[in-house]
Amino acid sequence: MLFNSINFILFFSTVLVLYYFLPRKYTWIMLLIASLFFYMCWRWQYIFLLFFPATIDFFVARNIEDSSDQKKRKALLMLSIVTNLGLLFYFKYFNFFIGSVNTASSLMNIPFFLNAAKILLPVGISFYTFQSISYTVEVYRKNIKAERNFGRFALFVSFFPQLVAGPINRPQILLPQLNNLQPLDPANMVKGGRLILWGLFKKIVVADRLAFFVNIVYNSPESYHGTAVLLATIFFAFQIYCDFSGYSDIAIGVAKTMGVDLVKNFNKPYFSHSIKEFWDKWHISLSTWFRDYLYIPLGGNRVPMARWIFNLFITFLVSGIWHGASLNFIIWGAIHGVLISIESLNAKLKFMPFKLPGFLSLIWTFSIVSFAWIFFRANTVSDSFTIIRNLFDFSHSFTAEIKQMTGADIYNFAIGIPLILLLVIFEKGWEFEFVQKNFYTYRPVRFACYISLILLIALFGVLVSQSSFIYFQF
Amino acid sequence: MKRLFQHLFILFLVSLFLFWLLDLGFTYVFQKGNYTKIQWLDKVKDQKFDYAIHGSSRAFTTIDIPQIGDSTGKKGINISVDGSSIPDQYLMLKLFLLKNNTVKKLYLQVDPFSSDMEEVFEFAVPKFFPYIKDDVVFDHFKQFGKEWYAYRYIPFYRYAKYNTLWGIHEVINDKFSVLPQDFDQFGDFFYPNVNYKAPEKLRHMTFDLKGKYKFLNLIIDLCKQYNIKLILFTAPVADIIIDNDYKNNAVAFGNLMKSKGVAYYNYGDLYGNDPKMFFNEIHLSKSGATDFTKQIMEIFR
Repeated sequence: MLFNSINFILFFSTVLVLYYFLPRKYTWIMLLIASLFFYMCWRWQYIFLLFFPATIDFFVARNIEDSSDQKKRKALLMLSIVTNLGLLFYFKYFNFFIGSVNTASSLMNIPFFLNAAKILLPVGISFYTFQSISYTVEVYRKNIKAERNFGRFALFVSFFPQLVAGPINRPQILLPQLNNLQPLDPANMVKGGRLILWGLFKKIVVADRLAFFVNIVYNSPESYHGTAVLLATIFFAFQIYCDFSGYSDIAIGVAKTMGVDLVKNFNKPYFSHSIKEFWDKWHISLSTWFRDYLYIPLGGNRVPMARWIFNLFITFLVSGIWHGASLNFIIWGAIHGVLISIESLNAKLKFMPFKLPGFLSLIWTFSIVSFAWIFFRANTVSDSFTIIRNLFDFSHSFTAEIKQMTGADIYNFAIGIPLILLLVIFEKGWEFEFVQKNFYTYRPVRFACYISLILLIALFGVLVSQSSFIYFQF
Repeated sequence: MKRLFQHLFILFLVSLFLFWLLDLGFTYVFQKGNYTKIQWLDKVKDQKFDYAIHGSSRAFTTIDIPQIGDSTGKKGINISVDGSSIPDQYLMLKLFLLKNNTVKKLYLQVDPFSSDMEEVFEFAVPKFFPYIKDDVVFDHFKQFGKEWYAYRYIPFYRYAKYNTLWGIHEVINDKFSVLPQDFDQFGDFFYPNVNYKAPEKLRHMTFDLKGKYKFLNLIIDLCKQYNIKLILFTAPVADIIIDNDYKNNAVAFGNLMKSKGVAYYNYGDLYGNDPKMFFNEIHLSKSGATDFTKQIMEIFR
């Protein structure tokens, strides 16, 4: 059940009606049932995968809290981490591992071959396992009390707005809210509704429309060169931003209507002046997860310089692997690891002879982030290198390459640029105080904005088929 | 909460009104437009033809009408719609005849893989959207799903859903005739001559002799009603397995049609698996269409 589908509108409306009418003490049970139903709509068997680590984490956390034996506490924590990561490894990386072993043995002429397992990646597994790990770690660190009600803990793991693609919420933020659900508040409903509408615009209008041109170029990398590849790469940068931040906005908006505040996941990342700033603003819930549960436990920056750089690099490499079981994601993570290491070293040692001025540093950051996206989007590593090679080949006519496409594809390409500009104007414009002041002061202005977004969705949204969100695959 | 619902209701009403206005505007421009085959055919009225070619893209791209005119002096029209299935073709023929057009012979291209079809193709269906308020169109399509009621009764829903086809770009195109039609004045379209290579894989292609042929029978009945001589034919295909099964099946299908008083000509294997006349597996190139028209000229006399 995708957020951008009629089924979800019906489902969510039903949840809201039940939320409104049910006595307060039963609301969390209704939300738990709704969340499980929501997850089972993908594949009912998935529910066992959700419950298995949740059950272990629930009991592990209680035992960690009840125990004063540090060794036992550590062993229990390890049990939770191994269970979650083991599950993640099996479903997400096992076949990649098998493939790598087979490739290595064939390269070394060793007659050894392992058969791939028939595994279907359960949607959202990377998100809920990480959320569950953060719970046991926080209980271990004595930052929170273990939840004593399994149903309430199951709701924390499975809360439907954030179940399949985050944001990954910390237990100290989400659990108290779910344990103290508030009655529906019109102010929250309006705020939530606004976010949902804005998220739908970003997903259906911008991301899905840009996807047409991106798919054409990236699925036939040999056929496109120079400007076409450059534009497709820029389009993808905005596609993935609008796809994932649009999803996050909808998720946060849906939770907000019920009075639950989820963590912010994006903060205009393409207005960053450095890679570090980009990662402070992109997929914030994951970046901070890696910071708190990997980078800092590795020693963070309070270690010798070489170790510090290693910590930085390994954190981004793991972040790349988290995104998917393929060499493309590993390279993508490694590129960011290298870039952030250079930046951090430069901040400390100041070996760069100059500092780029504001606007140029913004363009530079956007350019290298977009360049790294090539590995993220390309179908194979070999395609990535073909795209990079063709990106710098301006000997082919851009017009001739565009003319190869159908009329509908040319239209989708042509409206891509105005849509990106519109998005940038909306996002940048919102930073101005007078814009916000007028929006919040005058009701007709707000109405005009809502109506404009609705019309933009109807006129330019891709509604013919609901396309999945890119981050659902992770 | 009450105030929130009041505001939501106002928002709903304003949106509904705007969608109603957009629906009116879009429908007006699209009905005036002439870009798609269906828009063009909608404006063909009160005309007399000696023959019409009908079918999917396999008929749209296969017969050279001016060539037939030069050779036989007969006036023809190609009413085929690319991407259409046989239910759409039945509707198209019905609409064409209801506009007081007359035709003596109808050459309908039929294929083993589609002539017994009882569904409509997703990508071809929106072409009829500007005419959905027409009862003939709606009565035809409502049998294919409840969504057709939404297309007809929810303002602008159909144009929003298929805005890649019926979007603002098409409004501009229809209003200012930006792009030329991709078919000629007779309704023909020809693929360019390309270096099409032999099909990688051949496939069995036989008619289901026990099939219901619901829409084919409706076309047969419609032709009888309008005194039109119906001739069925199968255009050349590059990727079929030509064996005894195939040949016997074509003969058997011909006999089945004969029992309904309809002639059938099988040209599916006319060029064997030789790719030189083809643009792809199932479509002839321009030179292929010229040659094919020449080879079957007799049936137009």
